[in-house]
Amino acid sequence: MTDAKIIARAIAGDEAARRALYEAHYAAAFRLAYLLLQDTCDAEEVVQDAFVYVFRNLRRYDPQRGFFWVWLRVILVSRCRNKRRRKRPATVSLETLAAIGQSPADPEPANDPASMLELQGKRQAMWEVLQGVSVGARDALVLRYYEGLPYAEIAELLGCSPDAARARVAHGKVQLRRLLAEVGEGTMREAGFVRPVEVG
Amino acid sequence: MMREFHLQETELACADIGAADASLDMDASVGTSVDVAEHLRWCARCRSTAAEYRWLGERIEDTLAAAADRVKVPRPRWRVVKRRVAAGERRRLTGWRASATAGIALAICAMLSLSSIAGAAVATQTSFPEAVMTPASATVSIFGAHTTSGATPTPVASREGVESLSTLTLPSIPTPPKPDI
Repeated sequence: MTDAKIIARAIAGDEAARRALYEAHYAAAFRLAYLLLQDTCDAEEVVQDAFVYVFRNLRRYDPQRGFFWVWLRVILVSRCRNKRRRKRPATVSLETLAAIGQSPADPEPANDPASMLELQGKRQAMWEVLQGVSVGARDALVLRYYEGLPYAEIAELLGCSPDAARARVAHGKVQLRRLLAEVGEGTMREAGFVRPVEVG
Repeated sequence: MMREFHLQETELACADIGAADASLDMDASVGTSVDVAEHLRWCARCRSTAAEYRWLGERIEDTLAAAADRVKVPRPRWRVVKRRVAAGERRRLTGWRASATAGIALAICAMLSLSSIAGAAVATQTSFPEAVMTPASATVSIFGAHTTSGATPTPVASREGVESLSTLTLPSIPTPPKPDI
């Protein structure tokens, strides 16, 4: 059955079609939410919220305006940004940490993407450095380099102009380059970062 | 002229010239300006930095793809979503019913208060002829006082004239509109 047929049936209220739609797009939605939020629990929650919204407002979906995934992505990105805005950094007293035998520098295993992913070498280093990039720029980088979107679509998702979207991507890359430089030449070499040979 | 300055990092970070992954970097929505392209043709240093950013872009793409592949996707929980959608529907229906009931109650209250206001207005208007007759009799006494004191040369109305005043036919009072109940 094609996606259009499933959506038509889902709009008509067919539960099996709705479930099929949910299961077909769940993994992609979760991965994107995870890359934007860098937290599996938050990503799961946001994806669930997004699907609840989608099924409550399925009649508003217009297939003429784009694929179902495009519509879902708009909702998902918006919810990820809202989630991050609402979420305040959790504060734990030093006494509490000492009581449970954890030092402040120890990352929380459940929320540490690097340990969860078990990335090796340069990918791990790059992933860690990516955490240091500002939120707006990181969103733009994820949409550009993971979703492969043109600046016009990134602009639509982030609520800015295409020029601003491009600027965010550029600032993200500039920040990343500086952060990598701060990591140090030795660490970069260990991580597999070798500067490209100069052109010209 | 072109060799005397260097481009800003942000300009180089998204410079699309000579990109290996042209499909990703070349973007019709926002293209690289002719000035940047021209400069990169002549300036080896900026071209090198642009190449470094392009390489960085490839690393970002690679890292994000790997992170997305390796993250453990939790099991889809359709039942939870279904329950929440159903709960939302119920809430919406309940809300709609509550607002409809409140609206009807408000309309009834408004009609009742309107009818009571209209009733008061009717009562006021039906007592109007008596209120008119009182000044007429007062006029008589004023006329009488004037005549007894003799201070003013006001012409004295005859008793027949005064009686005819009191028997004047008043124009018919317009009946108030009946309230819609």
